[in-house]
Amino acid sequence: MIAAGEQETGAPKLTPEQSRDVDAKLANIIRKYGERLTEQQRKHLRKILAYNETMLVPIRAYALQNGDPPVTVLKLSSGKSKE
Amino acid sequence: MLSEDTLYLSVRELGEQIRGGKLSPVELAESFLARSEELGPKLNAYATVTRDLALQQAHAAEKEIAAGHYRGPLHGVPYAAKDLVAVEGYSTTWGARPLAKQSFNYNATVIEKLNRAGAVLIGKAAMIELAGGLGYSAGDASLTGPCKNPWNMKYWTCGSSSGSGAIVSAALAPWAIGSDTRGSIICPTSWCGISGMRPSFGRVSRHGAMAIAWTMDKLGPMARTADDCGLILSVLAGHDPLDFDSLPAEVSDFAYSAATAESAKPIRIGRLTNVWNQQEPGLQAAVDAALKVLEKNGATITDVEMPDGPYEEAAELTILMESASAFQELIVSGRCAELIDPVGQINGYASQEFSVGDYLQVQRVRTFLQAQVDKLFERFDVLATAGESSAAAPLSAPPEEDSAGPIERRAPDGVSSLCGLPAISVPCGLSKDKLPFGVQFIGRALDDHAVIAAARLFQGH
Repeated sequence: MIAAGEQETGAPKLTPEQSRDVDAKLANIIRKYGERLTEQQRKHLRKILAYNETMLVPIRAYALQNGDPPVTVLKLSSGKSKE
Repeated sequence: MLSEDTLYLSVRELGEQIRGGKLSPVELAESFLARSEELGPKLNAYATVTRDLALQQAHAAEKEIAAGHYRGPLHGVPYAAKDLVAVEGYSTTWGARPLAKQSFNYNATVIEKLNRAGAVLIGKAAMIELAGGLGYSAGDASLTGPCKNPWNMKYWTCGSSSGSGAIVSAALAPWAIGSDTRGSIICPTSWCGISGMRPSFGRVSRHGAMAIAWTMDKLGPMARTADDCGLILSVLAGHDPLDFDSLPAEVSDFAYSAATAESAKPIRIGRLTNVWNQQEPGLQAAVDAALKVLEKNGATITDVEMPDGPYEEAAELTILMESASAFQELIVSGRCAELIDPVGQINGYASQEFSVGDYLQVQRVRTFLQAQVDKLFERFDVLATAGESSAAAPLSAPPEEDSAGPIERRAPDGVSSLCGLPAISVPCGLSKDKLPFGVQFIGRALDDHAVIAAARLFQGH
C-alpha cells in the first residue's frame, strides 16, 4: 500500500487536497479489488489516479451556471423510432 | 492473380471496371484473398479472413452484374471490417483476449448496408484490444499481436484501427471500415499513408459495433483516396433507429458524386498554428507544401489559433468515464486482467472512481467547448493541420502512457472528436525515414462534404 501523500516517480505533482482524494480513491479500489492487485499495480493505479485528478482541475474550475446543460440530453422516443 | 497495379486501384476505379465488365468480382476477390492470406499474417493485419463469405458474395455480385442488376459503386468491390463490427457467422473479438471466442448472431447495420450494396467482405481487421477503451501503452496491445506498418515492418501502424490501416496500405483490400473515438482512424491513416475519414458524429450507424464512449464513437472509411471516402460514406451513412445517437433522417444521408464533391466557392482554410506541443522535423513543411497546392488552386489559407480550453482533458475524461460503464462486466469480473496491456488490466478500476458530478461537469463544459470551436467555422470551411505530430513510431519504442507527459490540450483529435466534427487525413509526403506524413482537414459538424472537398482538391493536383 502506498503511504498517504507519497508521490510516485513520474506521477504528476498534486496539492495536499488532491493527494488526499487520490489516496481515498486508491483505498476504495483496494477495498473492492485488493486481492487482484499486485504491489506494482497498486503503485501504477496511484499514478493513473493522480493523472486523472490533474485532468479534472481545469474542468472543475470552469465557471458554470444552473442553466448550463450537458451535451448529453434526453432524446424523446415516440415508440415509432424502433420501426 | 491480378497485378499489384490493379489491386492498388481506388474503389472508384475498381467499381467502374467491374461495372464495365473489365474486371471480374470473383477474380478480384480471389486476388485480394490470396494476397491477404500471404501478407496478412506477416503484418498481423487480420483477426479473421472471411474466405467463404467473400467468394459467395463475389460470385453473387458477378452473376447479378452480368444479368444487368447493378447495385452501385461498391458492387463487387472487396473490403475489410474492423473486428469490432459484428458479422454473423464469424467471431468478433474486439481485439481482446478475454473475448477471443465472442460472436454475434446478427450483422451490424453497416454490414447489412454493405451486403445490400453488393460489397465483398474479405476479412475482419485486427485492432487494438477494446479499441483502446481501457487504455493501452504499446502497439502489441492486441489479441493478434502488434500490427506492422507496410511501409516498414519495424514500425507500427498506430491504432486502434491498426489492421484496417495495414490492410488498405498493403492493398490486401481496397478499403476498410475503421472506428474513431479519438484518433483511431486518423492516426493509422496518417501513419500508413492512406486516406481515411471520421464522419460527423451520428452520421454512420454504430448498431452492432463495440462501444467505448457512446457520445464519441464513430465508424468511418479508410481507403486509397478522399474521393473513395466520399463514395463509401454515401453507402454507409443514414439514419438508423437502432443507433440511439443516429442523426435524424433529414441530415444523416450523405449524397455524393464527383460533381458535388467540388466546392462551388474557394475553400477557406484555417491553418492551425498552436495544436501540437512538438512535431517531427519536416512534418510542418510537408503540411505547408500541401496547403500551397491548395492555395495555387483557389483556396485561401489563413493562420488561426485554436482557442484555449480543456479539450483534451474533456475528451480523455469522457472516454475514461463512459468506457468504465461500457466495459463494466470486464472490470467487475476481473477479466480485464486477461488483457495484454498493463494499463488496460487496471485502468478500469481507476475510471470507476470518477463521480457522477465530475461526469456531468465534463459534459456541461463540453457544450461550451463545442460552441467555441464552432465559431471558428464562421471564418473557415475547414481547419488544417498534420494528421499526427510525427510519422510512424518504431514497434521497439518503449511503452508510453498518457500520464507520462504534458497534456496536449488542443491536440486536434481531442478537439474534433469531442465536438463530433468530421475529419479526413490524406498523405502529404515522407519523413526522413521514408515513412508517410499526413495532412488533416477538420470540418464543421455535419459539413463532411467540406473536408472531402479540401482533400480532393489537394489530391487532384
